[in-house]
Amino acid sequence: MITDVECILKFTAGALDGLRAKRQLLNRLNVFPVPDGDTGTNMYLTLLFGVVEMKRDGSGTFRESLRCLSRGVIAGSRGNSGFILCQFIGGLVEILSHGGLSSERIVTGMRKGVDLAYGSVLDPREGTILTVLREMVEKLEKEKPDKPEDVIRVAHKAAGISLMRTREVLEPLRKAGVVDAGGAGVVAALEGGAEALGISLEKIDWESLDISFDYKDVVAPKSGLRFVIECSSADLRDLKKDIANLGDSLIIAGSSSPYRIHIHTNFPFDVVRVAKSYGLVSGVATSELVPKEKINSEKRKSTRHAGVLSICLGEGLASVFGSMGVNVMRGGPGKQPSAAAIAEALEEMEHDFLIVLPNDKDLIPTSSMALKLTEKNAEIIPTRSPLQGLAACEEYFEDRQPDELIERMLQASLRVVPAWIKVAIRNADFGNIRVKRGDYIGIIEDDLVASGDKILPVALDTVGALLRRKKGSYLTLVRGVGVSDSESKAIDAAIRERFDHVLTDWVDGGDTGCPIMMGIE
Amino acid sequence: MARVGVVTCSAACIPRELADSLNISIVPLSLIIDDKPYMDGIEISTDEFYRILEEGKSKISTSAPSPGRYLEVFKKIASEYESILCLTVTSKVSGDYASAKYAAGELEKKVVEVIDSGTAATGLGQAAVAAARAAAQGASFQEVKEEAMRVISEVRLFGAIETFEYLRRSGRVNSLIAFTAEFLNIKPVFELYQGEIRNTARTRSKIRALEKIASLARERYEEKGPINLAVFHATSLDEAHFLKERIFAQAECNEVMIAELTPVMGLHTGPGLVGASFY
Repeated sequence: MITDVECILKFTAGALDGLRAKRQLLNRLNVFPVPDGDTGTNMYLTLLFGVVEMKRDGSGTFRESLRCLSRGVIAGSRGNSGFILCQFIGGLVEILSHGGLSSERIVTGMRKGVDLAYGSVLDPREGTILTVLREMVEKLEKEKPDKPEDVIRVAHKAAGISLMRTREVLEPLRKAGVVDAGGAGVVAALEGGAEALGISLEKIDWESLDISFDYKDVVAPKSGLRFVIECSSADLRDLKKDIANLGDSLIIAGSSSPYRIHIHTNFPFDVVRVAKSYGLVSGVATSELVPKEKINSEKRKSTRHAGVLSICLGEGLASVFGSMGVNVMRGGPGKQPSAAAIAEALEEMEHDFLIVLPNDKDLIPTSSMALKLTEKNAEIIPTRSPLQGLAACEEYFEDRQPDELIERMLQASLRVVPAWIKVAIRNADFGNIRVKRGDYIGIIEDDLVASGDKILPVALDTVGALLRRKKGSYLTLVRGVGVSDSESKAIDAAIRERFDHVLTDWVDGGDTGCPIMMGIE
Repeated sequence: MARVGVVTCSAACIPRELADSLNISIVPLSLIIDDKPYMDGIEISTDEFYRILEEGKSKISTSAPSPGRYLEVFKKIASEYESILCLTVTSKVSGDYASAKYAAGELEKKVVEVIDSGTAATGLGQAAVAAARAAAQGASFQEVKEEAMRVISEVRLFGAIETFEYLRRSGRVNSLIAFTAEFLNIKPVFELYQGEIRNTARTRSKIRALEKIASLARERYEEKGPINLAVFHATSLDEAHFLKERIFAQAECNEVMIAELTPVMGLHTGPGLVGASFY
């Protein structure tokens, strides 16, 4: 008898294998909404982040594993189908974590997931992954299978039938004669998960689904349109409603005027005309959205050069990143660059493929937004600290293939658990810990783990807490301004004395916005 | 009569006493210094060699053992064993395999099998040691061969080097890789994989590089249980011990062997190389 945790770990790892095996096929099927040939890769990477987070979690509890899965897919979600998958998993996890695995709870969770997924899309279209998920759940609600393995079987069968129908429902798919790539991803994941759990089911006929076609005959190429508009926030809301119908993948960046707008549209002139009625429009630029599959096949002959953009503060840290051959952009706590600035930095890089290391929790969403503002082929590795970024850079070789590179950099970054020693900016009471303004505080994830008016004991307590989170033995510390050489030497000696199996490695960070950052691995 | 004799070349870097105690026959590769040949690890001491290398005045090259030298060894031990298993350095970087194979063909009425190990240094050494141990316990030829093949397929070998200069000169690594590494001031970690030098990581210091190798050993340990470890170095015993300690701190080891690279291997990597192989 396997436990619920083992079951969920096996199933998700199997689902990931299923997506990995079918990823290229799914990419070829990708016609809607933009035929950019990346659905398979997007769904795979989305789930990969979830699975990696789960594996990293050593708690062994059901709830914590689920929480990691959900957190991972949120960090990893990319592309439309990846985003929908992430919402679906989020709903499912929410229901499951209230108790153990039971057929009833799985179905209720899937329903919650479908509702969340529908609710999160501005313009839900039928004949897509959404339909496949919905029809799958409807069938389950009707049949109410007793055993969890039957839930998988029924779900797989219903998803398969729904998938075949997508090519009749959605016009672009009908014309291309293909099924929906995202929906096919759901089936592939179910098949992989079932296999991992030893549940036998009749796989769908993948070969018959796999056809290549010429994108150009199917969908007129949309343009990526970018412009800047100065208008009031009320006007912006109306503008958003008006142009949402003229295209998709609408992104609005900026918290106050001027705003940066980005949209994929067949009607760039109409969009600009509408925008002009609301405010002053400038910086209009369009770019042709070429299906990525095509770019790839042309470029594959030559080496694909990957570049990395690392965002951090501090001269010292920047030069360490620089010496590892990556591009550096300044930004971090208190000095956040805008999505537009990150996008510009990406535009300036001449590599074929780019990776962004935000190196700060708050910069992860901004970086995601930046990717939408550029036509560059780019991905984010959601590093929360420069120490995770440094670990990721050790895997950076510019001739590595994008998929391999992302996977290796991601894994490397996740091996590091980061902590910060900051200075409290106000008095605060955290129940058992009381903090005075100007005190040093030790932070891991979002938890306050130490505080006091002397840096040394706070540093020691923080290292202690860090080692309880992860049994590591290599501690990298970044010294910021305000920590003298003798202070860091004293801290180093104290750490070595108290934790004798730990090897310390100091980096002079400069003005990093934080007295000490550290990471254990 | 003992059943199986194990033969390998000096590039396996098996410490002399260990090779003697397990009756492993070592065929020396050749080192040619200013047109004068020396037998690797026998006719010239390691210290002496590195002194000459760093001095940089002499013209140094290497060559695989001649078929004649292999034949000599095979003939010498032919009367002691029913059959002979010979493990060579990866054929991708050396003529070792070709020489041994040729010699084996010349030896009549005797089972001599030559295996291209696809690896070198302690990766090859560990395979030979495992095979010799099986042979010493009276295993059949097939069993000894299977033991060698098992280690060859499982062993992984990583190294961290001080500079790419020597590998570049030896033509064993693409000069662009070497250039970038020097230019950026990073310490690369490489893997010898199926006969080729492959990039594993680029780190910002030698200690990071050694730590990376230790973490790779830990991953193997977490995946498959206690490891058999060999640490090798070229004139860097202290760092080799450091690496061993870092691996001990993170992984359980069945056994450990510390080997100094023989001059032929050291010529290609340069002084300062430290690495580990494990299975």
